[in-house]
Amino acid sequence: MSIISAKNVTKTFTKLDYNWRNLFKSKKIETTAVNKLNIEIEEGEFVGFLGPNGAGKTTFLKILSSIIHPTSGEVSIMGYTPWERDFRYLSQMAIVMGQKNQLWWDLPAIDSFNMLKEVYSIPDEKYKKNLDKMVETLDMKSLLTKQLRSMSLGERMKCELTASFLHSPKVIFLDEPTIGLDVVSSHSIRKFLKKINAEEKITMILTSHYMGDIEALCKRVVIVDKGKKVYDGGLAELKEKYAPEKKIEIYLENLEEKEKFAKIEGNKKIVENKGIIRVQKHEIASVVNQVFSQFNPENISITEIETEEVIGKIFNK
Amino acid sequence: MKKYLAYFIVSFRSFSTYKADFLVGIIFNLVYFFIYFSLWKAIYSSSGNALIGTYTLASTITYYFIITLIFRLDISGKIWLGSDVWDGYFTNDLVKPWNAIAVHTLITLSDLAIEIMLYLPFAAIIFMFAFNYILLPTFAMFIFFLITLILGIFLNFTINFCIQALTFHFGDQEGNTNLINYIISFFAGGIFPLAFLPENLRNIFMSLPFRYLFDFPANVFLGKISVSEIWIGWAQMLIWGLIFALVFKFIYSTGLKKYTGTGR
Amino acid sequence: MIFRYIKINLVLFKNSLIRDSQIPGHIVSSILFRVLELVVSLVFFKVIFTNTPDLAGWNYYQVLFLYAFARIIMIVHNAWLKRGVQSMATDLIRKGEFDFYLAKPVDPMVMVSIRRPRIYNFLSLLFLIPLAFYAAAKTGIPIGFDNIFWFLFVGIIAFLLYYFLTVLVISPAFWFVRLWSISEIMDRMNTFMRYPVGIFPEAIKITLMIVFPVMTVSYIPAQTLFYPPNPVWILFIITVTALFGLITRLVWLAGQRNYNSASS
Repeated sequence: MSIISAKNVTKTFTKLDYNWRNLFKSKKIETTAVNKLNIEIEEGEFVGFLGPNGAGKTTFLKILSSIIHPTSGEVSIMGYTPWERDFRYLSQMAIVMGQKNQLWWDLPAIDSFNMLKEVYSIPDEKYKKNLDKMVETLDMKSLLTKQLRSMSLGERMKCELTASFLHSPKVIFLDEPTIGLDVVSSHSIRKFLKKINAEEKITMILTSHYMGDIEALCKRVVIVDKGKKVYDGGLAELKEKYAPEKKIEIYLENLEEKEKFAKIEGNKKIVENKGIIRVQKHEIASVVNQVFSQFNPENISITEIETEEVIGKIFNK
Repeated sequence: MKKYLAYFIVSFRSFSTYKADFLVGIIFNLVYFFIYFSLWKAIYSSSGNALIGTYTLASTITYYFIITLIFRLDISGKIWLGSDVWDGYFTNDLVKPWNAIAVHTLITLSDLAIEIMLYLPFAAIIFMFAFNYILLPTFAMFIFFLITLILGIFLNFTINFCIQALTFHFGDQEGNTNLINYIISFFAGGIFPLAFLPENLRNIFMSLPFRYLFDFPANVFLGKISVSEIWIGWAQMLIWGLIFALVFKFIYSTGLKKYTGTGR
Repeated sequence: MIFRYIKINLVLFKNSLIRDSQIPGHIVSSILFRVLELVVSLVFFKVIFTNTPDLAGWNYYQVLFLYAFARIIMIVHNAWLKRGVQSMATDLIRKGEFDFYLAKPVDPMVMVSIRRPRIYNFLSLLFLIPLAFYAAAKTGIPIGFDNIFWFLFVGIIAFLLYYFLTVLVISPAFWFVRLWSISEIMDRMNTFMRYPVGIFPEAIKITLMIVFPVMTVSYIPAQTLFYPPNPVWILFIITVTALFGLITRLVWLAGQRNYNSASS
């Protein structure tokens, strides 16, 4: 049985539009952020939610995390309906938002953690064990006594993650946790999430604009556009379905090579000194033979189509 | 100049989007006025006297009517210089090709423009219900009153900019701003007419520049100040304003050198 | 369950001490502000009572006690709950930070209310409580143990009523996100608490004792102290508090259901 089950979840925001000139003639503006979304997630899964800005990913996450009520539809997480806000559900759930802080701005991180200990009624031993584990995994011993306002973005996110894992939740919602972070910080957070998902079997839903996050962490991807689910499946299958191609890149050393490249048949282009050919996987053998016979093998690379490009293709369909 | 005008218009539009706040602002005015109206009516009634100091009940009520306007034009809650410096948002003003202080002045002026618009429906309501208690000035006195009000706003600006600029040197001044402005409103006659004070206290209060913010304009409106005294008052307001402006210039220029833009 | 909230509250008090002690200037200016407020009020009452022997049958010391008691209620509320409640209108809903309170296993209304105490504000009680004692003693009215018992009982209920009113007033923020000024409504309305109800016309008395019972908060406890405890008044304040507790809770829950977070 799925740990998260959402059936026909819809959320429509209604706004009254009025101005001084038409004080008594206000207009209702409705925006459907989530449109009959269905999803089933098993325990321990790490699911990535992708979509352009305004697709409804964060709104859906907020419904699952009890923050907002849906307009219609049913959700069951661990047997609870999120927006009923049963404390037993909230004690087993956490949400991390990349663009918001839940910790106290003017206080050292440890003071915020101590407060959360009381909020979640975490026994002393468990609190110490979890805190020590987070500190070690995220290498943040020096951050415990540092004020949040004087931390870098990466350091703050480490603290936010620590705060979310202190009470050993079973389900975690991560809304763009690596937004604005440098490569090193992003990498360490990904490493941490991957480890904790594997060890603790915590069910995680991640929204991100960074394909690096999704590729590193999620085997399963849900793509959302204009509130509707466009794709739900494996990341590998996603590429297979929407971009069953490979990319052959050839560094063209001189004009002669460029002329040779122009004669090759297929979907190709030249970008500066790089010739790029896109080939269907079932045709790749013949194209590869042709390319390797005409060009220096050291200048040839064969790669998968970037996931970003695949996603872009889906939204541009 | 165009960029400053554009900024003024944008600020005005930005403030005017807070439509429901307008209604609440009018309610605030009414609450304040009504409490003091009831209080002084009860005082005059139980004292059996027609005059307190030189004020009749109508003069006292009119005094509070004017004070309500002046409180709405109070700068202290409408200057963002201190909080912008503290939060680091002042950086946005410094990196643009404009005078940061001019811009902060403009945003406050646009807020004041909204307040004046807000005051009109309140004034209309008061006239409807307390017409008998509001003494109207002559046209000439009304003009004198308007000029006094404008000079008072200038003086208030300079005082508050000084306080807010202290943020560069001593950090967040929110607490001090509230404290100092409360002191000022007391010395200025914002709580009650200074004429009600015992003579020795009154002489102290009258020697300070703060009376020009509330008591002086209200008494110009009431016609209790002669024309020659008004001219002298204006000269003093200008001198005090210039003194505070110079103090501000010093605090600000030394403060800029210390500014680090942290907080964001 | 209550014990858990007490524990959370203690941690928040400790955090507040740590946070606020980083800017000792705030504490000093805040205390100075409160002292000055008290001095100004005392001067104002002196001005009033120089011109009248009583206000609606209440002598100087009774009015002074009423003022002190009203201030005590406000100070305890300000120190403990005000900033948290106000932040609903100024920050939490507007920026979507209320999300975190909904996603935790605590009652959001309680958690938001207790989240930002200002411990040092309690210091004002050091001069308000002695003032209240002094005023009560000097009224010349005999005060028995039953007066004191019922006064304390009714006083606690009055504090609850004041809290419910502040939350009720802030709740429109769920629907009117940009309504900043509702965070200041109670600051204006509580001015009514300082004066005996008798100075106001009947319509105002009824409105502010029953419809929006802010005057009930101070007047009935003070009345209970100075006059024989009246079961009708005691039952009245209990009923009004329970009713407003229920209304506030229902409005808050409705607001919570309507909450749409904020875009990130």
